[in-house]
Amino acid sequence: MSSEGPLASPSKADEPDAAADRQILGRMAAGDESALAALYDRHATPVYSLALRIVRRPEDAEDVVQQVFTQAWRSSGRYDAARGVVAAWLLMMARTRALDFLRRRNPARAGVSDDAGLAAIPDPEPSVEYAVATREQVERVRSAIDALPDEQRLAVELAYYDGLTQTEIAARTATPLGTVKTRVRTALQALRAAMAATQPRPGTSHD
Amino acid sequence: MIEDPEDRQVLDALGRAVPQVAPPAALRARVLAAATRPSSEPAASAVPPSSARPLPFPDRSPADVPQPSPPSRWPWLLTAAAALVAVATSLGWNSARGEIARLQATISDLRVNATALLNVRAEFDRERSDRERAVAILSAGDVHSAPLAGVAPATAARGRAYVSASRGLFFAAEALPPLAAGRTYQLWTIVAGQPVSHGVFGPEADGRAQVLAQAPPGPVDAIAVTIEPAGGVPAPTGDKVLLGIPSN
Repeated sequence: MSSEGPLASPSKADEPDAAADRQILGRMAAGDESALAALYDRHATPVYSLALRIVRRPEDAEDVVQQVFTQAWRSSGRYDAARGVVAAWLLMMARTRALDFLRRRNPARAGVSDDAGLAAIPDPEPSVEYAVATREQVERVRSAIDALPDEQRLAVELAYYDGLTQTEIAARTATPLGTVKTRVRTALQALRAAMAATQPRPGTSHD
Repeated sequence: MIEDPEDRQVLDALGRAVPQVAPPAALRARVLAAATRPSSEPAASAVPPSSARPLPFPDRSPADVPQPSPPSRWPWLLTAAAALVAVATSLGWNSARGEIARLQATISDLRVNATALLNVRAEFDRERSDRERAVAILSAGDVHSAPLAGVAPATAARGRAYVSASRGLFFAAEALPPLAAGRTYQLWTIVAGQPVSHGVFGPEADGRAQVLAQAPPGPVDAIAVTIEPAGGVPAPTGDKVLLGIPSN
Protein backbone atom coordinates (compact mmCIF):
# COMPACT_ATOMS: atom_id res chain seq x y z
CA MET A 1 0.00 0.00 0.00
CA SER A 2 2.84 2.31 0.72
CA SER A 3 4.87 1.26 -2.30
CA GLU A 4 2.76 3.37 -4.55
CA GLY A 5 0.08 5.96 -4.24
CA PRO A 6 0.24 9.60 -3.40
CA LEU A 7 3.10 9.59 -0.97
CA ALA A 8 5.89 10.36 -3.39
CA SER A 9 4.01 12.83 -5.52
CA PRO A 10 2.98 15.34 -2.88
CA SER A 11 6.51 15.40 -1.61
CA LYS A 12 7.57 16.52 -5.05
CA ALA A 13 4.70 18.94 -5.26
CA ASP A 14 5.77 20.44 -1.95
CA GLU A 15 9.39 20.36 -2.89
CA PRO A 16 9.98 24.14 -2.96
CA ASP A 17 8.37 24.59 0.47
CA ALA A 18 9.99 21.48 1.85
CA ALA A 19 13.38 22.58 0.56
CA ALA A 20 12.93 26.02 2.10
CA ASP A 21 11.99 24.43 5.41
CA ARG A 22 15.04 22.19 5.32
CA GLN A 23 17.23 25.18 4.64
CA ILE A 24 15.62 27.01 7.54
CA LEU A 25 16.32 24.07 9.83
CA GLY A 26 19.91 24.05 8.70
CA ARG A 27 20.24 27.71 9.67
CA MET A 28 18.59 26.96 12.99
CA ALA A 29 21.09 24.20 13.63
CA ALA A 30 23.79 26.80 13.10
CA GLY A 31 22.24 29.01 15.75
CA ASP A 32 20.50 31.49 13.46
CA GLU A 33 17.59 32.81 15.49
CA SER A 34 16.10 34.60 12.51
CA ALA A 35 15.63 31.17 10.95
CA LEU A 36 13.44 30.15 13.88
CA ALA A 37 11.38 33.27 13.33
CA ALA A 38 11.00 32.27 9.69
CA LEU A 39 9.94 28.77 10.68
CA TYR A 40 7.42 30.22 13.09
CA ASP A 41 5.98 32.53 10.48
CA ARG A 42 5.58 29.65 8.05
CA HIS A 43 4.01 27.11 10.40
CA ALA A 44 2.62 28.79 13.53
CA THR A 45 -0.95 28.91 12.25
CA PRO A 46 -1.40 25.19 11.46
CA VAL A 47 0.44 24.26 14.66
CA TYR A 48 -1.68 26.60 16.77
CA SER A 49 -4.89 25.54 15.02
CA LEU A 50 -4.33 21.86 15.65
CA ALA A 51 -3.30 22.51 19.25
CA LEU A 52 -6.38 24.64 19.80
CA ARG A 53 -8.63 21.96 18.31
CA ILE A 54 -7.20 19.42 20.75
CA VAL A 55 -6.76 21.38 23.97
CA ARG A 56 -9.62 23.85 23.30
CA ARG A 57 -8.16 26.49 25.60
CA PRO A 58 -6.24 29.28 23.84
CA GLU A 59 -3.72 29.64 26.67
CA ASP A 60 -2.92 25.94 26.54
CA ALA A 61 -2.66 26.02 22.75
CA GLU A 62 -0.15 28.85 23.08
CA ASP A 63 1.92 26.74 25.45
CA VAL A 64 1.83 23.90 22.94
CA VAL A 65 3.08 26.22 20.20
CA GLN A 66 5.90 27.34 22.45
CA GLN A 67 6.88 23.75 23.22
CA VAL A 68 6.79 22.72 19.57
CA PHE A 69 9.06 25.51 18.39
CA THR A 70 11.34 25.14 21.39
CA GLN A 71 11.71 21.48 20.52
CA ALA A 72 12.28 22.33 16.86
CA TRP A 73 15.04 24.75 17.85
CA ARG A 74 16.75 22.32 20.19
CA SER A 75 16.66 19.32 17.90
CA SER A 76 17.23 21.11 14.62
CA GLY A 77 20.79 19.78 14.56
CA ARG A 78 19.51 16.22 14.46
CA TYR A 79 17.10 16.81 11.66
CA ASP A 80 17.65 14.46 8.75
CA ALA A 81 17.32 16.80 5.83
CA ALA A 82 17.34 13.95 3.36
CA ARG A 83 14.25 12.30 4.69
CA GLY A 84 12.03 14.53 6.77
CA VAL A 85 9.27 16.88 5.87
CA VAL A 86 9.49 19.66 8.40
CA ALA A 87 5.86 20.73 8.17
CA ALA A 88 4.61 17.25 9.00
CA TRP A 89 7.09 16.87 11.81
CA LEU A 90 5.96 20.13 13.42
CA LEU A 91 2.33 19.11 13.15
CA MET A 92 2.97 15.72 14.71
CA MET A 93 4.78 17.42 17.57
CA ALA A 94 1.83 19.76 17.99
CA ARG A 95 -0.54 16.83 18.30
CA THR A 96 1.69 14.93 20.72
CA ARG A 97 2.22 17.95 22.96
CA ALA A 98 -1.45 18.91 22.83
CA LEU A 99 -2.49 15.40 23.82
CA ASP A 100 0.02 15.69 26.68
CA PHE A 101 -1.95 18.69 27.89
CA LEU A 102 -5.15 16.67 27.75
CA ARG A 103 -3.57 13.87 29.76
CA ARG A 104 -2.30 16.30 32.36
CA ARG A 105 -5.76 17.80 32.62
CA ASN A 106 -7.23 14.36 33.10
CA PRO A 107 -4.69 12.43 35.17
CA ALA A 108 -6.91 9.35 35.22
CA ARG A 109 -5.96 8.84 31.61
CA ALA A 110 -2.25 9.54 32.03
CA GLY A 111 -0.04 6.85 30.66
CA VAL A 112 -2.77 5.15 28.72
CA SER A 113 -1.39 4.24 25.34
CA ASP A 114 -1.91 0.55 25.00
CA ASP A 115 -3.67 -0.82 22.02
CA ALA A 116 -2.95 -0.02 18.43
CA GLY A 117 -4.80 2.87 16.98
CA LEU A 118 -4.41 6.46 16.03
CA ALA A 119 -3.54 7.21 19.63
CA ALA A 120 -0.52 4.94 19.51
CA ILE A 121 1.50 7.44 17.56
CA PRO A 122 5.04 7.56 18.91
CA ASP A 123 6.66 10.78 19.94
CA PRO A 124 7.80 12.48 16.80
CA GLU A 125 11.42 12.13 15.86
CA PRO A 126 13.03 14.59 13.49
CA SER A 127 14.78 11.76 11.73
CA VAL A 128 11.60 9.88 10.90
CA GLU A 129 10.17 10.30 7.47
CA TYR A 130 7.05 12.40 7.64
CA ALA A 131 4.58 12.81 4.88
CA VAL A 132 2.88 16.11 4.43
CA ALA A 133 -0.50 16.43 2.80
CA THR A 134 -1.10 18.99 0.12
CA ARG A 135 -3.78 21.59 0.52
CA GLU A 136 -5.90 19.76 -2.02
CA GLN A 137 -5.54 16.54 -0.09
CA VAL A 138 -6.47 18.28 3.12
CA GLU A 139 -9.64 19.50 1.46
CA ARG A 140 -10.34 15.98 0.25
CA VAL A 141 -9.83 14.55 3.69
CA ARG A 142 -11.99 17.25 5.24
CA SER A 143 -14.80 16.40 2.84
CA ALA A 144 -14.26 12.71 3.44
CA ILE A 145 -14.52 13.25 7.19
CA ASP A 146 -17.76 15.12 6.72
CA ALA A 147 -19.07 12.32 4.54
CA LEU A 148 -18.29 9.59 7.07
CA PRO A 149 -21.17 7.99 8.95
CA ASP A 150 -21.53 9.70 12.33
CA GLU A 151 -20.19 6.76 14.33
CA GLN A 152 -17.10 6.46 12.14
CA ARG A 153 -16.42 10.18 12.22
CA LEU A 154 -16.80 10.19 15.99
CA ALA A 155 -14.36 7.28 16.30
CA VAL A 156 -11.75 9.01 14.16
CA GLU A 157 -12.16 12.32 15.96
CA LEU A 158 -11.92 10.72 19.38
CA ALA A 159 -8.80 8.88 18.26
CA TYR A 160 -7.02 11.72 16.54
CA TYR A 161 -8.14 14.88 18.30
CA ASP A 162 -8.77 13.44 21.76
CA GLY A 163 -6.02 10.86 21.66
CA LEU A 164 -8.26 8.08 22.88
CA THR A 165 -7.19 4.48 22.38
CA GLN A 166 -9.65 2.19 20.70
CA THR A 167 -10.37 0.62 24.08
CA GLU A 168 -11.19 4.06 25.47
CA ILE A 169 -13.36 4.87 22.49
CA ALA A 170 -15.27 1.65 23.07
CA ALA A 171 -15.83 2.60 26.70
CA ARG A 172 -16.71 6.21 25.88
CA THR A 173 -19.23 5.29 23.21
CA ALA A 174 -20.54 2.14 24.90
CA THR A 175 -19.59 0.15 21.84
CA PRO A 176 -17.89 -3.27 21.58
CA LEU A 177 -14.16 -2.95 20.94
CA GLY A 178 -14.42 -5.00 17.77
CA THR A 179 -16.98 -2.60 16.39
CA VAL A 180 -14.78 0.37 17.22
CA LYS A 181 -11.83 -1.24 15.47
CA THR A 182 -13.96 -1.88 12.41
CA ARG A 183 -15.18 1.69 12.40
CA VAL A 184 -11.69 3.15 12.69
CA ARG A 185 -10.37 0.83 10.00
CA THR A 186 -13.25 1.58 7.64
CA ALA A 187 -12.96 5.30 8.24
CA LEU A 188 -9.22 5.28 7.62
CA GLN A 189 -9.77 3.38 4.39
CA ALA A 190 -12.17 6.09 3.29
CA LEU A 191 -9.67 8.79 4.19
CA ARG A 192 -6.86 6.95 2.39
CA ALA A 193 -9.08 6.67 -0.66
CA ALA A 194 -9.74 10.39 -0.48
CA MET A 195 -6.00 11.04 -0.35
CA ALA A 196 -5.28 8.70 -3.22
CA ALA A 197 -7.99 10.25 -5.37
CA THR A 198 -5.99 13.43 -5.40
CA GLN A 199 -3.36 13.77 -8.01
CA PRO A 200 -1.34 16.70 -6.81
CA ARG A 201 -0.28 19.24 -9.31
CA PRO A 202 3.09 20.95 -9.28
CA GLY A 203 3.03 23.95 -7.03
CA THR A 204 0.26 22.59 -4.84
CA SER A 205 1.14 23.16 -1.26
CA HIS A 206 -0.41 23.49 2.13
CA ASP A 207 0.95 26.92 2.85
CA MET B 1 -0.98 1.03 10.78
CA ILE B 2 1.03 4.01 11.85
CA GLU B 3 4.03 2.50 10.18
CA ASP B 4 2.38 2.94 6.84
CA PRO B 5 3.74 6.12 5.25
CA GLU B 6 0.44 6.65 3.54
CA ASP B 7 -1.25 6.75 6.91
CA ARG B 8 1.24 9.33 8.07
CA GLN B 9 0.02 11.47 5.23
CA VAL B 10 -3.58 10.87 6.29
CA LEU B 11 -2.61 11.86 9.82
CA ASP B 12 -1.00 15.04 8.55
CA ALA B 13 -4.16 15.82 6.60
CA LEU B 14 -6.26 15.23 9.72
CA GLY B 15 -4.06 17.69 11.55
CA ARG B 16 -4.52 20.28 8.82
CA ALA B 17 -8.25 19.67 8.38
CA VAL B 18 -9.09 21.65 11.51
CA PRO B 19 -10.31 25.25 11.26
CA GLN B 20 -7.27 27.42 10.74
CA VAL B 21 -6.84 30.02 13.47
CA ALA B 22 -3.97 32.48 13.54
CA PRO B 23 -2.23 32.55 16.91
CA PRO B 24 -2.25 35.79 18.91
CA ALA B 25 0.35 38.23 17.62
CA ALA B 26 2.04 38.45 21.01
CA LEU B 27 2.78 34.73 20.99
CA ARG B 28 5.52 35.10 18.37
CA ALA B 29 7.89 37.08 20.56
CA ARG B 30 7.17 34.86 23.54
CA VAL B 31 7.89 31.68 21.60
CA LEU B 32 11.06 33.00 20.00
CA ALA B 33 12.41 34.20 23.34
CA ALA B 34 11.56 30.95 25.11
CA ALA B 35 12.74 28.61 22.36
CA THR B 36 16.19 30.14 21.99
CA ARG B 37 16.82 30.22 25.70
CA PRO B 38 19.79 27.94 26.48
CA SER B 39 18.45 24.48 27.16
CA SER B 40 20.12 24.39 30.58
CA GLU B 41 17.47 26.85 31.69
CA PRO B 42 14.11 25.43 32.71
CA ALA B 43 11.42 25.77 30.13
CA ALA B 44 9.32 28.85 30.62
CA SER B 45 6.11 27.07 29.79
CA ALA B 46 3.34 27.84 32.19
CA VAL B 47 2.68 24.15 32.54
CA PRO B 48 5.42 21.80 33.70
CA PRO B 49 6.30 18.78 31.59
CA SER B 50 4.21 15.70 32.12
CA SER B 51 5.67 13.16 34.45
CA ALA B 52 3.51 10.42 33.01
CA ARG B 53 4.76 10.91 29.48
CA PRO B 54 8.31 12.18 29.15
CA LEU B 55 8.84 14.86 26.60
CA PRO B 56 10.83 13.45 23.72
CA PHE B 57 13.72 15.80 23.24
CA PRO B 58 14.46 17.95 26.25
CA ASP B 59 14.69 14.83 28.37
CA ARG B 60 17.48 13.31 26.34
CA SER B 61 21.05 13.48 27.46
CA PRO B 62 22.64 16.82 26.70
CA ALA B 63 25.20 15.13 24.47
CA ASP B 64 22.38 13.92 22.29
CA VAL B 65 21.02 17.39 21.80
CA PRO B 66 23.37 19.59 19.82
CA GLN B 67 23.66 23.10 21.14
CA PRO B 68 22.73 25.57 18.46
CA SER B 69 25.52 27.93 19.41
CA PRO B 70 28.28 28.42 21.98
CA PRO B 71 27.02 29.40 25.43
CA SER B 72 29.18 32.48 25.29
CA ARG B 73 26.57 34.07 23.12
CA TRP B 74 24.05 33.96 25.89
CA PRO B 75 25.26 35.76 29.02
CA TRP B 76 22.97 38.72 28.56
CA LEU B 77 20.13 36.34 27.91
CA LEU B 78 20.62 34.48 31.18
CA THR B 79 19.33 37.42 33.15
CA ALA B 80 16.45 37.89 30.77
CA ALA B 81 15.73 34.18 30.84
CA ALA B 82 15.67 34.12 34.62
CA ALA B 83 13.28 37.03 34.57
CA LEU B 84 11.13 35.25 32.01
CA VAL B 85 11.05 32.12 34.14
CA ALA B 86 9.96 34.18 37.10
CA VAL B 87 7.29 35.87 35.03
CA ALA B 88 6.14 32.58 33.57
CA THR B 89 6.00 30.96 36.99
CA SER B 90 3.91 33.78 38.31
CA LEU B 91 1.81 33.60 35.17
CA GLY B 92 1.14 29.96 35.90
CA TRP B 93 0.13 30.76 39.43
CA ASN B 94 -1.84 33.76 38.30
CA SER B 95 -3.46 31.60 35.65
CA ALA B 96 -4.75 29.21 38.32
CA ARG B 97 -5.86 32.08 40.50
CA GLY B 98 -7.43 33.70 37.50
CA GLU B 99 -9.33 30.52 36.77
CA ILE B 100 -10.65 30.41 40.33
CA ALA B 101 -11.59 34.07 40.12
CA ARG B 102 -13.39 33.46 36.85
CA LEU B 103 -15.30 30.55 38.35
CA GLN B 104 -16.22 32.62 41.38
CA ALA B 105 -17.40 35.41 39.12
CA THR B 106 -19.44 32.90 37.15
CA ILE B 107 -21.05 31.56 40.31
CA SER B 108 -21.76 35.11 41.41
CA ASP B 109 -23.32 35.90 38.06
CA LEU B 110 -25.45 32.78 38.23
CA ARG B 111 -26.66 33.77 41.70
CA VAL B 112 -27.56 37.22 40.41
CA ASN B 113 -29.35 35.67 37.47
CA ALA B 114 -31.22 33.27 39.73
CA THR B 115 -32.27 36.14 41.99
CA ALA B 116 -33.38 38.16 38.99
CA LEU B 117 -35.40 35.20 37.70
CA LEU B 118 -37.00 34.74 41.10
CA ASN B 119 -37.89 38.43 41.13
CA VAL B 120 -39.39 38.15 37.67
CA ARG B 121 -41.39 35.16 38.79
CA ALA B 122 -42.58 37.00 41.90
CA GLU B 123 -43.62 39.90 39.69
CA PHE B 124 -45.56 37.54 37.46
CA ASP B 125 -47.19 35.97 40.50
CA ARG B 126 -48.20 39.40 41.80
CA GLU B 127 -49.63 40.40 38.45
CA ARG B 128 -51.55 37.15 38.17
CA SER B 129 -52.90 37.57 41.68
CA ASP B 130 -53.95 41.16 40.91
CA ARG B 131 -55.62 40.06 37.70
CA GLU B 132 -57.51 37.34 39.53
CA ARG B 133 -58.63 39.81 42.20
CA ALA B 134 -59.78 42.27 39.53
CA VAL B 135 -61.68 39.57 37.68
CA ALA B 136 -63.26 38.46 40.95
CA ILE B 137 -64.44 42.02 41.62
CA LEU B 138 -65.70 42.61 38.06
CA SER B 139 -67.59 39.32 38.05
CA ALA B 140 -68.97 39.59 41.57
CA GLY B 141 -72.75 39.47 41.90
CA ASP B 142 -72.82 42.64 43.99
CA VAL B 143 -70.54 44.78 41.85
CA HIS B 144 -71.49 48.37 41.07
CA SER B 145 -69.57 50.58 38.71
CA ALA B 146 -69.24 54.33 38.56
CA PRO B 147 -67.65 56.49 35.87
CA LEU B 148 -65.26 59.19 37.04
CA ALA B 149 -64.88 62.38 35.06
CA GLY B 150 -61.92 64.71 34.94
CA VAL B 151 -62.09 67.86 37.01
CA ALA B 152 -60.69 71.07 35.49
CA PRO B 153 -57.98 71.59 34.57
CA ALA B 154 -57.58 67.78 34.08
CA THR B 155 -60.70 67.59 31.94
CA ALA B 156 -59.23 64.89 29.69
CA ALA B 157 -58.78 62.47 32.58
CA ARG B 158 -61.39 59.79 33.07
CA GLY B 159 -61.81 56.59 34.98
CA ARG B 160 -64.15 53.95 36.29
CA ALA B 161 -64.51 52.33 39.67
CA TYR B 162 -65.97 48.87 40.37
CA VAL B 163 -67.08 48.30 43.92
CA SER B 164 -68.07 44.95 45.35
CA ALA B 165 -68.83 44.87 49.04
CA SER B 166 -67.79 41.22 49.12
CA ARG B 167 -64.69 41.30 46.83
CA GLY B 168 -63.24 44.78 47.00
CA LEU B 169 -62.65 47.83 44.85
CA PHE B 170 -61.05 48.01 41.38
CA PHE B 171 -60.28 51.38 39.88
CA ALA B 172 -58.84 52.20 36.46
CA ALA B 173 -58.07 55.59 34.96
CA GLU B 174 -56.42 57.10 31.92
CA ALA B 175 -55.16 60.46 30.72
CA LEU B 176 -54.04 61.38 34.20
CA PRO B 177 -51.72 64.42 34.19
CA PRO B 178 -48.14 63.80 35.26
CA LEU B 179 -47.45 64.59 38.90
CA ALA B 180 -45.10 67.23 40.20
CA ALA B 181 -42.22 66.04 42.36
CA GLY B 182 -43.27 65.14 45.90
CA ARG B 183 -46.88 64.61 44.89
CA THR B 184 -49.06 61.54 44.60
CA TYR B 185 -52.55 60.63 43.55
CA GLN B 186 -54.81 59.31 46.28
CA LEU B 187 -58.08 57.43 45.80
CA TRP B 188 -61.06 58.08 48.09
CA THR B 189 -64.57 56.97 48.64
CA ILE B 190 -67.05 58.96 50.65
CA VAL B 191 -69.01 56.68 52.94
CA ALA B 192 -71.60 58.13 55.28
CA GLY B 193 -70.13 61.56 54.71
CA GLN B 194 -66.62 60.51 55.65
CA PRO B 195 -63.62 60.10 53.31
CA VAL B 196 -62.08 56.64 53.20
CA SER B 197 -58.62 56.31 51.67
CA HIS B 198 -58.05 53.47 49.24
CA GLY B 199 -54.39 54.16 48.75
CA VAL B 200 -51.96 56.29 46.83
CA PHE B 201 -50.72 55.66 43.30
CA GLY B 202 -48.79 57.25 40.48
CA PRO B 203 -49.76 57.15 36.83
CA GLU B 204 -47.81 55.13 34.27
CA ALA B 205 -45.91 57.09 31.66
CA ASP B 206 -48.95 56.89 29.36
CA GLY B 207 -51.24 58.38 32.03
CA ARG B 208 -52.93 55.13 32.93
CA ALA B 209 -53.34 53.79 36.47
CA GLN B 210 -55.06 50.91 38.19
CA VAL B 211 -55.79 50.38 41.86
CA LEU B 212 -56.96 47.30 43.71
CA ALA B 213 -58.21 48.00 47.20
CA GLN B 214 -60.35 46.80 50.05
CA ALA B 215 -64.07 47.35 49.72
CA PRO B 216 -65.37 50.53 51.29
CA PRO B 217 -67.07 49.99 54.67
CA GLY B 218 -70.53 50.90 53.40
CA PRO B 219 -72.59 52.35 50.58
CA VAL B 220 -70.49 54.79 48.54
CA ASP B 221 -71.73 58.34 48.12
CA ALA B 222 -68.88 59.49 45.90
CA ILE B 223 -65.50 58.42 44.52
CA ALA B 224 -62.66 60.86 44.01
CA VAL B 225 -58.99 61.13 43.14
CA THR B 226 -57.00 63.98 44.62
CA ILE B 227 -53.41 65.19 44.38
CA GLU B 228 -51.73 64.94 47.77
CA PRO B 229 -48.28 65.14 49.27
CA ALA B 230 -46.17 62.04 48.65
CA GLY B 231 -47.16 59.23 51.01
CA GLY B 232 -50.77 60.35 51.21
CA VAL B 233 -52.86 61.99 53.87
CA PRO B 234 -55.65 60.80 56.24
CA ALA B 235 -58.24 63.11 54.66
CA PRO B 236 -58.20 64.79 51.26
CA THR B 237 -56.54 68.20 51.17
CA GLY B 238 -55.54 68.72 47.53
CA ASP B 239 -57.16 69.40 44.20
CA LYS B 240 -59.65 66.91 42.83
CA VAL B 241 -58.62 65.34 39.52
CA LEU B 242 -61.42 62.79 39.10
CA LEU B 243 -64.88 62.64 40.58
CA GLY B 244 -67.67 60.11 40.22
CA ILE B 245 -71.05 59.27 41.74
CA PRO B 246 -72.14 55.62 41.85
CA SER B 247 -75.35 54.92 40.01
CA ASN B 248 -76.91 52.68 42.64
